[in-house]
Amino acid sequence: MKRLGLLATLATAAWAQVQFYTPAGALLSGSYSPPGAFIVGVKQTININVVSSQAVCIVIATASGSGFLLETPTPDTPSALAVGGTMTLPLDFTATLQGKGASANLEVQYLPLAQSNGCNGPGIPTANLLKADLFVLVNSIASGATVSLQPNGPQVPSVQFGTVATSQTSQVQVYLNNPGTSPITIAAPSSRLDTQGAFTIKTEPAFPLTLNPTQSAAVVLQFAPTATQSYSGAFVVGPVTVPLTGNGVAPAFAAPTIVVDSSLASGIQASLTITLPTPAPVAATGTLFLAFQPSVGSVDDPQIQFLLPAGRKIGFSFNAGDTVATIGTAKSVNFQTGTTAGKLTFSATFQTPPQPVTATIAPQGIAIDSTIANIPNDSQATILLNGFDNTKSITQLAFTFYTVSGTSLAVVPPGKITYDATKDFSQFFQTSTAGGMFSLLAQFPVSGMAATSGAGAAIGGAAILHSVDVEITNSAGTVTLTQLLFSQCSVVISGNCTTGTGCPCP
Amino acid sequence: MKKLSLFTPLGLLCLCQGVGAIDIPHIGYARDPQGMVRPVDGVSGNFRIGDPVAADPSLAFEWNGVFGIRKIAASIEWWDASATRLVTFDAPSGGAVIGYDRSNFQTAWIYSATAHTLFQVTPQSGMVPFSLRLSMDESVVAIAGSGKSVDIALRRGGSILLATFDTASGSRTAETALNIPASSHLLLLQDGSILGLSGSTVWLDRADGTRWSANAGPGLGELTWMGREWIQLSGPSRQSAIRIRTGSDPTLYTLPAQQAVIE
Repeated sequence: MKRLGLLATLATAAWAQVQFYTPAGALLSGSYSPPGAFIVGVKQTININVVSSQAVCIVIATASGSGFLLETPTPDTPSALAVGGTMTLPLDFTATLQGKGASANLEVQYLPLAQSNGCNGPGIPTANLLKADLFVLVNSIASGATVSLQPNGPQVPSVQFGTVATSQTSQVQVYLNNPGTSPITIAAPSSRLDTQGAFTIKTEPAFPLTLNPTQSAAVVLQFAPTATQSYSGAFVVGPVTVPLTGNGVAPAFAAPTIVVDSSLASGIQASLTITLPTPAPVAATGTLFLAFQPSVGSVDDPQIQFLLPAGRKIGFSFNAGDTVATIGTAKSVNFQTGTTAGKLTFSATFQTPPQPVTATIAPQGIAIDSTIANIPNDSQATILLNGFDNTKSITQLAFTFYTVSGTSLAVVPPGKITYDATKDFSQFFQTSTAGGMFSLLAQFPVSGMAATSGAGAAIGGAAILHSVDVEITNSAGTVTLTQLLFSQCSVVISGNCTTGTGCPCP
Repeated sequence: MKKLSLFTPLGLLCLCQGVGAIDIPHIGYARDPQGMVRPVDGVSGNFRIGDPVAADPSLAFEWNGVFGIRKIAASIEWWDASATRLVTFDAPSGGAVIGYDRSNFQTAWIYSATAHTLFQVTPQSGMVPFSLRLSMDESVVAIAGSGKSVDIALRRGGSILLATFDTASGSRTAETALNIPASSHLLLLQDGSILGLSGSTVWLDRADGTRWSANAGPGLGELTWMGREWIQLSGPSRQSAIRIRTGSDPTLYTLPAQQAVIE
């Protein structure tokens, strides 16, 4: 089934009503389905009429878009249109592929005849505009070409199958017609179609075939290209030879979809797949891209990348029948989101490219991945914090130390120790190539105390440093780490480790 | 490296003015499929693989977060905490199974299959051979020392068993069959738990009898220490890492094949 839809939007002036009409004379105010059928490879003309309630000058008419061509002569020079007169705009359309659509925008610009100096110009002022949107979708095989079996009778000059994907076929039905006054008998159609087998006779009447005057019989010709190339052949029946042409092209894929885990945040590994709504008609390849736009500054975060293979550009492929792409060597690819807030954009090049997918990595509070609190010697306590700040905006650090006595904890005077680290971290992040990751080693010279793992055992009568609370503030808020225990491995009183020579801390 | 000054508190316990540093977090070192040892920086889920820290490939490498052991042609290198080669020992040629002593972070246990010898290794004492009585059909899978004894996972026939040897006498004092496929790869952890890889399943049998497992995907076959809490799962075409922390389930990650090239 062929359908032609025509949607018209009218911009009418108060003094004149200029409107489009269908070839059958109906006002184009909605969808339009013309009678008849499209023939694949055969040009068909759709005459759109312009009618005005007043004498106007049609300044120019254009048809822009795909598949349609406004025939010449077109009113590309001003043409007068009398009251009640009709101007015909012949639009040519050639169906090229079953299932393929075409669309065009038809426009005419017009003026009252008086304002346009009798449509003789020059200096025609800005014209009013009348628009119509046309679209066509060829949904079924074409039919209707008539091959006269008289050598000198009217002929279809050629059957053009147009562009057909290598995985598909296109069919054209032609009618063998006897326009003469006496019966014609044909023993059999010639099979001289082409040398590569792309053109074949799909259905045909029984032969020998006798057609009485005005009788006709249908033959369906099929074009099934196997390669991306041009084909030519001929359909020979009785005394008539009809040239056949067609182009084989790569099959059109439905646009794939990039599927990414729904909730992304900094510091995670997530996966991505590329899916097709319908199985791939043939094997095809593409390239997947990952781009990052930081929301803080302009420094990229190189750790934002696909992982296998690593990088921001990775090939993918579909085998025939696949609905999920192979990316690298698997059906999905992992990527890491880095440690900088911003936007990740996944895009791909493909014959029908997917819509890019953008994911926002929101600013968040400091994330601490690991901590070590210990006393590596008898004069120092150290606190190591590994983590990231995806806003790169750390301002304040605060430490509160605790001693233990029995099972009771006591805050070490003077209590919370604060430090403005804004400048330190700002300088670090300005030169870092590791996104918002940081490893902070805070060192506190100590005396008269020892560490314990929290068991509360005093060593040598010394005071026991038990744990520390740490607060870190950035633009997204403050994160508090409570009671980081000083580790057992670093129990040190006088330089000798209780658990081994040198007592290194892991 | 940024210096960071901290406030001076008062009190009976003196927390005097201190300094600190800000740097990129360092996880450890990993051996790539070509045998090159590369630094691994980052945090969980966000890794950065650096350039090789040694010019030549290694036959085996383990890094426990404090020191590393690298096996090359006919020697063993002891790397210190800054990944600097501290000392090199002559060693039997061929590969090695490397383990650590659970009692401290200063001793390595290395088994040479070509010499059929177990060595206790420290920077001070060098490589001390131990007599280890293995049957002909037994091969060493994993090692962990425990002071005066050493636990060794052995592959024997179609099974794997965990044997304990007295380091003084070399005698086998205990033996327990492990109910795992004989093709499994193992690592004996510090707390007595066993990390294994059987096919594509990575699992952790904890000392308390509980088990955690996850699908690590195909193509992985070797378990090695990569850093404190970190273990590398290696294959010829991909690398993963697993983080094991006390009190929580392990977490599995993919390691970047190489540092990203941004185009």
